[in-house]
Amino acid sequence: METQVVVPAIVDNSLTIKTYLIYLPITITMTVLVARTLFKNSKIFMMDIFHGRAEIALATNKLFEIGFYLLNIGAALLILKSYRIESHQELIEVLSHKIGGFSIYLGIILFLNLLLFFRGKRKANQAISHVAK
Amino acid sequence: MKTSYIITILYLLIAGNTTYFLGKSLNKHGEFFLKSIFQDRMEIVLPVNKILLIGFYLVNAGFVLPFLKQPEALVTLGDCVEFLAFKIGVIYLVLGCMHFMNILVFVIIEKKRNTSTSN
Repeated sequence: METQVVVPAIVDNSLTIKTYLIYLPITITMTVLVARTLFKNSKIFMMDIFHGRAEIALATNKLFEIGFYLLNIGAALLILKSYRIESHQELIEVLSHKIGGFSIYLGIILFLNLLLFFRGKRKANQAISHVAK
Repeated sequence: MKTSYIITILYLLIAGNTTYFLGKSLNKHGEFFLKSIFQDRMEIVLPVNKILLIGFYLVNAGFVLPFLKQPEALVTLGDCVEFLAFKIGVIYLVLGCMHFMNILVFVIIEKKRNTSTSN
C-alpha cells in the first residue's frame, strides 16, 4: 500500500478566515468594554449588598467580573463557526448577523446582571429594616 | 499530523493558562470570604485556601484533558480555528458556570455564618 503524504492546503477559504479575524476582535472588545463599565458601576451595589464590608464586596465584584468574561467570551467563541462564505457580500451579512446576535445577547445579560444587583440591594435593605424592628 | 500537534499545543496553552489564572484569582479573592467564615481560627484560612486551590486545579485538569480529542478531518486553517473556538468556548462556559457556583457557595456560607453569630 502506498502511503501518500497529503500536504494540507492550509489556507483555502480565505474569506472564512477573514470573517473570523474580524469577528473575534470585535466581540472580545465588546465584552471587555461592557464588563468594565458594568463592574466599575456595580461596586456601589456590592457595598450595599454586603453592608459596607469593603473587602468582601470588592472581592465578589472582581469574581463576578471574571465569571462574566468567561461566560461571554465562551458564548462568542461557540457561535463563531460560519459556513461557506463565497463573496464579500456574504461576509458582511454573516458578520452583521453574528455580531448583532451577540450584542443582543450581551444586552440581555447586562440587564439580567442589573436586575440581580437591584434585587440583592433590596434584599439587603429589607434585612436591615427587619433587624431595626 | 503537524497541524494536530499545533492545535493540541495551542489548546493546552490556552486552557492551561485560563485555568491557572482563574484559580489564582479565586484563591486571592476567596481569602476574604474564608477569613470572614473562620473568624476565630485564622491559622486555618491559608491551608483551607490551598486545599481548595489544588482541588480546583484537579477538577479543571480532569475536565480539560479528556476534552482534548480532535476529529481526523482538520485540514484547513478554517477547520482548525473553528475546532479550537468550539473547544475553548465550551471550556469557558463550563468554567464560568463552575465559577459562579463557587461564588454562590462562598456567599451562602458566609451569610449563614454571619447570621448564626449575630443571633
